[in-house]
Amino acid sequence: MVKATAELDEGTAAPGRRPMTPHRILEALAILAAALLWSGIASAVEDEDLTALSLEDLMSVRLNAMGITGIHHTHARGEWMVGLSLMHMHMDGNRSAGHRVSRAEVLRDYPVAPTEMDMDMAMLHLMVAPTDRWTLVGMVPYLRLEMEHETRSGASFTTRADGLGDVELGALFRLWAEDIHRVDLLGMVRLPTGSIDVKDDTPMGRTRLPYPMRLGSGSVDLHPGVTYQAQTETWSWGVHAGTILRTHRNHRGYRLGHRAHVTTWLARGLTEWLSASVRLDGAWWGNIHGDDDALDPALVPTADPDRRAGRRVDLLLGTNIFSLEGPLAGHRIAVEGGVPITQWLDGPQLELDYRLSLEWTWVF
Amino acid sequence: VDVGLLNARRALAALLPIALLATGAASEAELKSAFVFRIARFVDWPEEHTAPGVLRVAVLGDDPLTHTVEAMIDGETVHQSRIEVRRTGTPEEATPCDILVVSGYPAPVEEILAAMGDAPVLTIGDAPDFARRGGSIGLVRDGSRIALEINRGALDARRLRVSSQLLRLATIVETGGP
Repeated sequence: MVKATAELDEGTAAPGRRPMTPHRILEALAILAAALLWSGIASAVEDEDLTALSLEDLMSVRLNAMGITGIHHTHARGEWMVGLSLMHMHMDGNRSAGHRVSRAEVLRDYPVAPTEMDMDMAMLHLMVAPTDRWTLVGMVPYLRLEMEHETRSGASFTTRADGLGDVELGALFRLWAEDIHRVDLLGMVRLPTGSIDVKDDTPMGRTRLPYPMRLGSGSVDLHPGVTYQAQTETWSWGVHAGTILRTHRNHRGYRLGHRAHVTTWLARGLTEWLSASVRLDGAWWGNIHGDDDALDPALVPTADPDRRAGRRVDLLLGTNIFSLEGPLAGHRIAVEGGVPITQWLDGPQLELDYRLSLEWTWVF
Repeated sequence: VDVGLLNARRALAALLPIALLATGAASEAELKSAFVFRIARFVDWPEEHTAPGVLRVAVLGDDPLTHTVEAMIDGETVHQSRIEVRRTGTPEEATPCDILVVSGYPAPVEEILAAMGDAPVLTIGDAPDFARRGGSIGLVRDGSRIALEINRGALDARRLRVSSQLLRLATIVETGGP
């Protein structure tokens, strides 16, 4: 299984609601379209009659229904999977250690305070299984980051960055499978395709953006992991553990902290086309080693390499809709949303408020 | 897509009703039941043992598969024969029947099969190694799919003939084999 991870930080309350711009109206339409697709698939699946299928068709029907967003498994020989994940994380307010820190407190120590951040990621997945034990995996992320700030003078400004993130290539290996149980090993290499040189306009002029606004790590990273999962007719559960190891300093003279994550889930099939899941997702990450000379750590906490570490556990609820047969066979749409139940940050750092994801996969 | 229009409470509130929609339907059981229905088309029973115009299916075990077989294929037709599904409490009560579907019955497979004697009954089950333990056809999980295991020796012993098309799609196993 592969777990798509995003390394972000957090921000302070933005009191007012944002206006309904055309951009946001488009976003709402995208959500509506997804909901319609969801209901359309549901009705199509319900109308199918399994007894009308030939023996060959029955043997091609898949039962891997209760997937978890961002988590994959080895496939049968010859199978392909394409997928697209849309992820959103919203950070609002600052936190240091285990408690919240007000904007005024941050501005006492720094001339500029981050107040809020949104991260959107679109991830394209491609998987192919040359054998029953090996599945090759490729993941291409596209990121859009936006961070709001306030200065001691009371002025506010926003920085934005978008572009290709760090591409991941690797493989899944089915270590063991028996009856309903299986164990997969994951070995991925994350390539430094995401820019660490992104710039935007700030009150100090056009400057290189601080660490959490960068699109990649700048280093070649290793991403090993192991997954156990089981599935009965109506229940599915599993646990995945993995780590991201930075192998060297990037060309700006720093490397991000290593990262470890553990996630465990329980899902239940509700109907023949729908399941619901609950998941606990924990992550630990370290401070940055070295620093980028272009950043002044006394100006804003996001530029301080010694204020980047943290740990967090999120509670997530999700639903899956899937098609076993018919023209939509092999398609799955998953929605998952969650909030942190505990987070500790070597801050002040922006704290996570909530996260949402929408994922479509097609196995053929 | 930036879904900033939603906040965490709204998102979770939207998910909650869906989570309460539990109906307990079992897609795997329905798929296996469809296999039972299809397999019946590829089997010939000794003529002297069949009931004219009727295909008698007995289900044994309190499990989603046996309940779904009852719900899905009772009253359907195979080769001009109407399927009659009958729930049975013990293996001894299963005969006379043409097909016995076993799932979730709390006794060893060998014991169930011994109770059938050498009657020409196609036994289908989803217990681990069902066919290797003497059953006619095992419905087994193969990754995300259902596959068939057929014990030809068990079929011969019960004087059942299976079409080559079915044999070609299945894994052939032997009693006690790996």
